Amino acid sequence: MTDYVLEVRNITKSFPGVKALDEVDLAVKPNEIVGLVGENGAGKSTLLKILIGAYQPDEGDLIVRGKKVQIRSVKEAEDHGLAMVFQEQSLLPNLSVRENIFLGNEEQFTRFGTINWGKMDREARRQLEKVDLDVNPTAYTGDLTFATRQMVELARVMSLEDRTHHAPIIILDEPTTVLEKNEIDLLFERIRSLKERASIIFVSHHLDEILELTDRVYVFKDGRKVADRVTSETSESELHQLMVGRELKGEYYRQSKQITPADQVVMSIQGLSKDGQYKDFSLDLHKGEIIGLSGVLGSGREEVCRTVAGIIKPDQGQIIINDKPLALGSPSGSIKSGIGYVPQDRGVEGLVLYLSIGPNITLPDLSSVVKHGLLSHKGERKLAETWIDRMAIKAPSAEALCLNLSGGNQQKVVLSKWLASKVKVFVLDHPTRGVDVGAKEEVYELIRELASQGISFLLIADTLEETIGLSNVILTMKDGHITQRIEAPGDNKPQPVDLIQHMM
Amino acid sequence: MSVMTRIDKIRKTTNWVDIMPLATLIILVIIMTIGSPRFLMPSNLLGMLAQGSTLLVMGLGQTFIILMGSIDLSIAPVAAMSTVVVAMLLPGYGYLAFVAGLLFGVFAGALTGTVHTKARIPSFIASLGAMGLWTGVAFVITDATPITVATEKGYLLEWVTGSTLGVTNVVYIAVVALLITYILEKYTGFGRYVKAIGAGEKATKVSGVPIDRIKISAFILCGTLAALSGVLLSTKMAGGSARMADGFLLKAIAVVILGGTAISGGIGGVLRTVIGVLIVMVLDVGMNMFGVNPWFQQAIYGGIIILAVALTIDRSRITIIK
Repeated sequence: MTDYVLEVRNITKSFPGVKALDEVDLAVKPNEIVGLVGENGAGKSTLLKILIGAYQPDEGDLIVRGKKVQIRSVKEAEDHGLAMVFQEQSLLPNLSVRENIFLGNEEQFTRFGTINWGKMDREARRQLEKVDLDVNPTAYTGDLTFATRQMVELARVMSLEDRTHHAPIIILDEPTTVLEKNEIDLLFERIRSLKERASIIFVSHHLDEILELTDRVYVFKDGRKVADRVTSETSESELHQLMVGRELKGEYYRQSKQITPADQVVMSIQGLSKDGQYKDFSLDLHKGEIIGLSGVLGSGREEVCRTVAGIIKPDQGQIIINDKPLALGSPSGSIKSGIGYVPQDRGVEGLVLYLSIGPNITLPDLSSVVKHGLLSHKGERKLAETWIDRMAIKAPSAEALCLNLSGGNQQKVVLSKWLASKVKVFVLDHPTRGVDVGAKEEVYELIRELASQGISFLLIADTLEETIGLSNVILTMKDGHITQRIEAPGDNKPQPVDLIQHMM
Repeated sequence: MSVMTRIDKIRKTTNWVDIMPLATLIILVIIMTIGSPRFLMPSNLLGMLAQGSTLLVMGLGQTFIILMGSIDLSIAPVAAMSTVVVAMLLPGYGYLAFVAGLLFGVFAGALTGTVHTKARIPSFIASLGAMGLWTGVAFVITDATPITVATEKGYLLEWVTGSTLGVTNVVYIAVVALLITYILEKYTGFGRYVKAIGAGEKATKVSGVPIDRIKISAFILCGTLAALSGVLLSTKMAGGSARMADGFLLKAIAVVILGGTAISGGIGGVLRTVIGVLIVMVLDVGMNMFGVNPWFQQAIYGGIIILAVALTIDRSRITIIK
């Protein structure tokens, strides 16, 4: 007999070209708060999705209360008492609190096909009491604050206690990201009191929170569990070291190949403002320069990038590129001025997954493969082969749909697309997200090479380390403003703390 | 290992969907030939081609719309309006009446496309509204009475109804329409962008493709081809009426889907629609041969559309069906 409520044993999960989880173990005891940390792409979210039945593992076992189980849906996960409080929240704003709490479980209140609202009310109040939340069960969820809705979600999860007659296993996925300090304190207080009647898996980027709240902590890196520690016996620096684990490889970001940019300004952003997103944003991007934008969610850095790409139209300001003002608010305007956008959501905005490599590369500019007014399929295939060769894209064939390529190879197709249309400025939004470790280094190598050829970059990196490692200059942002400009020459890189103080 | 099985699976399903329409056609032809030895006689086949030409012209336009992941429900009333325009103007303006009929199609397509893109209304609703509009207008201007082209003006219809080398001219017109749309689909930026929009509109937009312009152009093409099929109908029937294209909507969508163009967009093309038209033609002949009540044939096509979509749709790409 085991004394764990949940055990994950040797779970492996692969996606085309990427091993997201590699023989991962994790165990949770009753009434324990277990922390889960790791960088983006470490495999945390894949594991969480397996736990709630959104993904099926390729190999390995899930054991709940000593019994091997298969979880094929959120419903089945809940039947085992496993439920997740989502970062982006899953309540339906157009339904009342009580309806949300019992969504999908109304049968206990149903008689002859109609719902006994009074009974549902009383039950809802009982669940809300568990999280000490005083809110009217008939209130519309959309009218509540984010923090209150989160508590309602917790109450919803706690209702599993009555349904399954077990203490629930609650997964909290980055619950503090958009909370204020006092709200975080309140949330932690509730989580500690819920510990009496539940087990909790707590996922956070903030190591201080992990240290404050959890009993034990697991560290994931590149799809593997690299360590587990009793929280009281570890430290922030040790966890950080384990998570990143590459301090020794100083050349990871190819710093020695970082060039000193030319004096020539390629793109000048002047006083760009967009209500509620960013204000008075200015910068000069030089030839061959990499400027990293660093800031938390809501700092406005993503919106600035999307504005440069022509997807967002600013209220004020202008962008001068090659001494000419850019036509704002249209992707084709930006592309014609030589700007290539590598978006965060590669499968949606970066590539047409159901087209092959050639048509994706020629999407912005067909002219190179048009002969006598007609599209030459042969020419397009040749072009695809040229780029497959030049960028070392691993593809089954030139005709393969981009859907069937790994993340790293897909990203190379996105880069090829823009290089083929001869862009001078790249806007990179999380260029290494969902890209394998090895392929990441290839992307870094490529960025350095392009920079030395005089192409300039505006970069939002996946991690602070990546921002620091790649950039010539870092602009920290907070609440839509630039707060600091930090030089990051190849031989004298700033430390993450130097940035963080200007981001928070 | 599992990655490869996944990719193999995708490949296999694609092949299956690719082959199915042609296989269906061949099986149907075999059944028909066994059922009636007269089926494969040249005169019968030519008759079927002439029958299918009008439907093909209409289906070619719809193919582009469905390739984009949209739908145009207004094609039958647009065709009917075109028959009315032709029949009304023919006595006074001669051949210009046909041009007017086609221009009406350009206008109707532009209207639906503009409402769909600029007012950001789903194509399903925009074209449903257009369907009501043109049906109503056609009934009002004809006073719900069919217009007949006088016999002495019959010579104006011969460019369609006449024959060249033993084949009715309507077949040549359909072949020309097919050639033009095939070139548009396969060898122009327009065709490429239509497919790209259907396969991934956001990425296409971020790549700088003028989405609205392409969409409106596709609706104009579809409207024009619907109007051309109206022109063909009006010459065949020597007249025009608000009801002349009744029943065409269902079939024009059926030919696209039966041919193997995915309703979710991105995959397919006009050559597949040709297969779809041939299937429908063989089915038509077959149902008549087996004595299926003509009124009930609509019901059968309704069922066939649903069956074809159920067999061909890639459900993994659609998480929520609305």
